[in-house]
Amino acid sequence: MNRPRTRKPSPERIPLDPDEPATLTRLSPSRKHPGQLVCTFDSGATLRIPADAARAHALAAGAVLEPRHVRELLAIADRAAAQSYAMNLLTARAVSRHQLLQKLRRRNHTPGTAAAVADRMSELGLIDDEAFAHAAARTICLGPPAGVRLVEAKLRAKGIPGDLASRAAKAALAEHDPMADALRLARRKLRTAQINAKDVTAVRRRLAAALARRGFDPDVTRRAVETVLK
Amino acid sequence: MPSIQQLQKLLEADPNDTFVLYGLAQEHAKAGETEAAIQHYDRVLALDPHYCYAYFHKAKTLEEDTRTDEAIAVLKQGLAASKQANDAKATAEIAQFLDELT
Repeated sequence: MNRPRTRKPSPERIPLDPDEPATLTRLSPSRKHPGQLVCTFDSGATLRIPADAARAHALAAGAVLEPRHVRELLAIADRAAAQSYAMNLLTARAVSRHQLLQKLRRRNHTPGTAAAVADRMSELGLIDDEAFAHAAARTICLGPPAGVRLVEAKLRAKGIPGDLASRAAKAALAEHDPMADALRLARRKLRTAQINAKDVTAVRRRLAAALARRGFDPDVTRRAVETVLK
Repeated sequence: MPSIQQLQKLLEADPNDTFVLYGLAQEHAKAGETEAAIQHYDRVLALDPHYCYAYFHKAKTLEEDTRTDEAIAVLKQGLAASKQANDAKATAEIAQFLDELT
């Protein structure tokens, strides 16, 4: 049996107090993040900021920063970390703008930073809710038969706004015949369900519920159920 | 990397070899021959629109020639191509470069 790998605990991070002055003791290039500098303060706190921001603020070792400058640097560092995370995420997989905002908020980035980074990712073309919605709808439609209401609901759960979810769902299902899909599902449910065939009312109810859960509209549901029970 | 002359000889054997064309583009770019480099990157991309690093290096060549707006346009095309090709590494590098220029 493999022994579990033990990880060395990360050194405890000392936060920078935004309400106190701070003396910058060291400025050094970040090894993991090219183009960024690590600022070390007298309290032992560190911040990572873009090198051009350090130049713009004329930062140098020995500089004593007033609280408002400390707060500016904290905001810059927050933005840089959020953008770094977002770019790594979005180059690996597509997410909606809403999903990105949620992930950034869960990582304790401020709402302002999260929104600014999401805007920047849109400018760079790394977030495109329109393309994401259409691709996600097509993927959902490759699965078990689904009606437009279920596809819309799944897109909304991914943070796609209602009108776009509706358009994308309808576009993905444009080539589908809802009646054929509903019949396919109803026949499968009838074959696999543990149903007492004599209790037709219960069968009708369960099939209708199954089709409704899969997002088929009431009229299609009713006609599909009546057809399979003939 | 073979010299430009050696690459030209290889290209005579197969004028549509994207690898050789890309190599020629890189060699011209290194030699500061911007227009020749761009022509060869364009030939690569005409043959293979998903040759993601051709977009990246064409943009680099343009940017070094202070043609930043054109570089940005190329990077945007490259980003779309790399996402279509599911090339995460190329997407990351192109996105990073685009972020630096815009």
